[in-house]
Amino acid sequence: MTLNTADFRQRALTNARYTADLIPQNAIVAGVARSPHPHARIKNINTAGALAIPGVLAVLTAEDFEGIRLGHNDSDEPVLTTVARYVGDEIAAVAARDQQSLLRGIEALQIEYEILPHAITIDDALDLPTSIHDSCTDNITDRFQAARGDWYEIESQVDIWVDNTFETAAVPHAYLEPRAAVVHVKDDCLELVCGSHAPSMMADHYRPIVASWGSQLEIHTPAMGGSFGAKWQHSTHLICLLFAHRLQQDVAIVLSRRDDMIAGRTRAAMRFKMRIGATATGKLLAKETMLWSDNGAYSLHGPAVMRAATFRADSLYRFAATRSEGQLIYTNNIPSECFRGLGITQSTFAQEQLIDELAKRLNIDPIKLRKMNTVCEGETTIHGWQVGSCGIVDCLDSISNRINQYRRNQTSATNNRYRIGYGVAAFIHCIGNRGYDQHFDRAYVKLTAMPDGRIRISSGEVELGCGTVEVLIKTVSHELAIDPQQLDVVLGDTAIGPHGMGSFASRTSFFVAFAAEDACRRFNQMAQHELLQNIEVTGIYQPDNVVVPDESGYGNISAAYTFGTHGCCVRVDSYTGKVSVEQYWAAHDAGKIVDINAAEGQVIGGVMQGLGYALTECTAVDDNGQLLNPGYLDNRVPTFADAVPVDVIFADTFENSGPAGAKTIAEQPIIPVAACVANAVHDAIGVRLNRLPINPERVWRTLNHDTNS
Amino acid sequence: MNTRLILHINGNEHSLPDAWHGRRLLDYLRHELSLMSVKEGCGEGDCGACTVLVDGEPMCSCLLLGGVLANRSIVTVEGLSDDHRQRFAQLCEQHGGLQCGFCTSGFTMMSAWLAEGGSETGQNSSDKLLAGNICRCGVYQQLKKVIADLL
Amino acid sequence: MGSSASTIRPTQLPDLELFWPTHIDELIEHIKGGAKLLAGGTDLLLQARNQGQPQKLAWIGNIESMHNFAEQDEQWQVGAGISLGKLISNAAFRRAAPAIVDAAQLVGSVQIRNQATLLGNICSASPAGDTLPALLVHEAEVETAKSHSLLLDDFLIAPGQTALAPGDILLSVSLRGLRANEISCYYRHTERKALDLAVASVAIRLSFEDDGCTIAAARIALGAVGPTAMLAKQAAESLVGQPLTKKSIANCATIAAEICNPISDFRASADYRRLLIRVLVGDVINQIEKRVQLLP
Repeated sequence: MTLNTADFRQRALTNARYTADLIPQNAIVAGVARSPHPHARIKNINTAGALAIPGVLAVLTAEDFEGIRLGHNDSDEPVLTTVARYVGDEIAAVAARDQQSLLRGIEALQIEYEILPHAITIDDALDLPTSIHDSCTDNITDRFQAARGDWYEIESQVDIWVDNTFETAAVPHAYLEPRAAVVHVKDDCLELVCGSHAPSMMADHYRPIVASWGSQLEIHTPAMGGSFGAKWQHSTHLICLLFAHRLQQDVAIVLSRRDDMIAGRTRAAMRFKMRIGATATGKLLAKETMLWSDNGAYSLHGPAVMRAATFRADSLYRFAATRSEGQLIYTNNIPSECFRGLGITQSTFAQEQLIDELAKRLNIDPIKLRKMNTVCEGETTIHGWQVGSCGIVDCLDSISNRINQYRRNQTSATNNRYRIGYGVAAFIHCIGNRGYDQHFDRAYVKLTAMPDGRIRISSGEVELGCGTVEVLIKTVSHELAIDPQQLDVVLGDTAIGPHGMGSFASRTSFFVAFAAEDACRRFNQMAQHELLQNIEVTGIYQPDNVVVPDESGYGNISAAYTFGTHGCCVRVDSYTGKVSVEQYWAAHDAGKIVDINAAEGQVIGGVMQGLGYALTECTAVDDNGQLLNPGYLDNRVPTFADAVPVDVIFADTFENSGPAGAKTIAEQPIIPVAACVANAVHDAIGVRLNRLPINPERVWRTLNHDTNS
Repeated sequence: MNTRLILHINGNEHSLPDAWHGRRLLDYLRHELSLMSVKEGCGEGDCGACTVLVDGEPMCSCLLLGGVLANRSIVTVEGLSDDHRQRFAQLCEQHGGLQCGFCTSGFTMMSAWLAEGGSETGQNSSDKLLAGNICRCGVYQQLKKVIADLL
Repeated sequence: MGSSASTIRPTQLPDLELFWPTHIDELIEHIKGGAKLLAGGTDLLLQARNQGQPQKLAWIGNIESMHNFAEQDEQWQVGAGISLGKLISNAAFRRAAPAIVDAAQLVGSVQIRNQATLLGNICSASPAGDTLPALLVHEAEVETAKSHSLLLDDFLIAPGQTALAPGDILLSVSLRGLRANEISCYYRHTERKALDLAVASVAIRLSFEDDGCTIAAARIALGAVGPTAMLAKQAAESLVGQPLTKKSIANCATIAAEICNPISDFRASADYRRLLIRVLVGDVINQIEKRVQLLP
């Protein structure tokens, strides 16, 4: 969609249009028949009954998508499947003139199943007599190993080990706008309208498929009601595209909240067995990680998430040796997908609790222990990351000061029932990752002088509410010395381009600002000898200090690194186990802050999501793989009443490799939250919550040394 | 029987077609009247994105049938005063009261209700009154400022 | 989502057939014809959307007699058409039935409370229904069209199941408002601060002797710890004839925790729910004591 300086205002006025607002009146409606079984072979589908219903126009089954797969790494997800691999898996699709015919059509499909043994947990999957995918007999779809330093030499120097097992829960992204797609038929081109954080990448994948039907494809992204990593390739897109192609009419699909949660995506549930060794004086030496990641039924970004979770968090500290191994395991659960913070959110939950534990055991202040061991500006971390600006010490000090100040003024003291505790947790995160994709740390911005004299800024990146539009307008109006009112921004429209990797790894603002600067340079050069109306230039940015990491993940994968420390005060009801977060502090090193409002917004929002992840959210699944909480009532994302006061602090740093000294702030705020809360709970009641979510019953059981927690 | 039902929507009279008697108000507003500010986030009365004012009181249009609203006044964001809309939007801009914007319609409706003195008992805190409007981007703290400034 | 089905039923409200009876007799004809009584619809429409049934609804908005909400001799009558919001905003009702208002204010959100009715909450017969324990301590009786009145305790049979005979309908509920020296309160445990279902809940009504501290009579009801909301008679009786003391409260809490009958599900385990009852009984009595201090 075309955006301009008034974009934010338009959204605030509720004038912005989202996918489901753009469905033409006469569009065909599509819907999906989903498996009620967690693992079953489809023996037969009888579509005659459905097709006999007046109003039903067409039915698609797996045959119609023979050989087509979704997914970035493994390409293992069919559009419509012949083997259902989770409850909700897409088996057939129906197109109809109206919703009621569609409903009847789906209900009239007769599908015969051969039930197969299923696995809901990682352990079940490793023991499963059958494989979930034929190509993967042991259900371990990806393995990763990384070892640094001389482990045995370093191990011998360790005076103290802390170790534990940590488990995180699968949670849905729960974006407020359910998945929707509209396909417009325009001559020989199919135009897919849908919310996505990576439209160019989706187009790369879908175009050859659509081309094989003899049609062209463009993707157009309107306003999007949240993605958080989820809105990427999805079978609903190809279903709508094929219906539109066959019927030569516009087709729309809108998932209900319930269906979106049943067959949506989740943050991968993980189990870590981790230990950290240090000297008696608190110098960190060694870290060992074994990770099992629940991939769910299909690999989307599962491998990337697993790899990141296995070792990346290590880079925060000066470990002398690390050994890490990760396994990605197929289960009959909802497919996992990247979700704000990739796997670092999960691994930080484990690592930062062990650091806390070590501080307690060594009787060193947890802030001090971290300050003794964090990496610094100019250092290369154990995984080859070249740290530019680094404000971690500032962040740690800020949190320490805030906590001390708060503690002094704290009136509600610990009593027999209610226990007060304080916790901190720190993190490191990259901006982009060249190891993932050649485009990953490259961005393009195109400037086009329009016939009406306005300048159009276009990019394949999208606006997620992080302020990409603002960054573009600010940069271009400054560089071209032009009134912002004369600028329009078109994001995520593949017909206009240019190509964009999409919003992954908090990269967008950082990369587009540079690409926009480059475009402006080219524009100004051309303007010296060209008529304004002939100018169209594309700027590019690719950091030059970055490498493709080796097979073990070693190498400087990112142009800059972000840091932060969170702190919180909790009040634990020791009778019921209920944890209330009383106050929260979030200190971030995001480089020079360009837009303080937007930056604070990202932090506060990320902390709220993190508190949901820490305390209340989960996907509850019964033994038969049925999702028990497919809605906002039972899957408890925080409400207005649950909001916690968040005090945001930014470290005063300047990143030489960043646009105007900036780094980035998007995913980061969610990363340390669960660990921070867990550490505070430990401080309050003396027991360690090593499983998520930290719900009242779990706290109560842990407090009572019940092993079933 | 009742074949002619009149709904007063944003100040205009609408005769509800028979086919819509047993369908959701939400769909009528969006599909028939193109009042696209009304959003469907959950369809289960939990998220508040479809909030409308019915005779001045906030309700979820996803759980109302068109046929039970004869002669009642229904207001969506489109029917609020331009003053209120502009002021709410300006405060959102000032405080960062939205990110993806999908919950904004619901909050705008609740803010209009609160601004008119809306309350359950005359002494509720806005925390409890706004708990039926989910913002997954999590900017509640900023929205608190927006509401406080507005009232 | 039955496993014998070919697919998960898409979440979609079928086109519903709606009737607008203006008299109770007419309503009953529709009910006999297979329609369900539609009042607020917050549960019924979800049911229709998720399960495809019911498809015929008879709306009571045009039946004036079902919208009574009045008090006579400390007995309050609440008709089937009265929303929770109407109860909450009525100052006299707030004084007469604090426990019910406590509970009503915890149901869903403002929006839902403006739509949902008290009688809908009763008919849904959810073990976790917030208003049910509160109604029990206010000695609620329901009145059906077949004109007999039934104690709420007898009306609630099992989760989602009531004593309502086929073809019969619920007209109103009557409940006993507080008298002098009486106070009531409802408390629940949830994970979120709002928009949640009770994991366990307790309602209580205490009558004090003229000395202002000896308990003359007590009623306690528990929610989400049995197939229906339930009265905890022994627990209540244990308080009678003495002032509230730490010991008497603890004893009462222990009895309540012993006699409740919770199940384990994904929201909580049975033994945790039992623990919650023990804690909540103490908390709710604590709250009562605060309210007593505020009494004139």
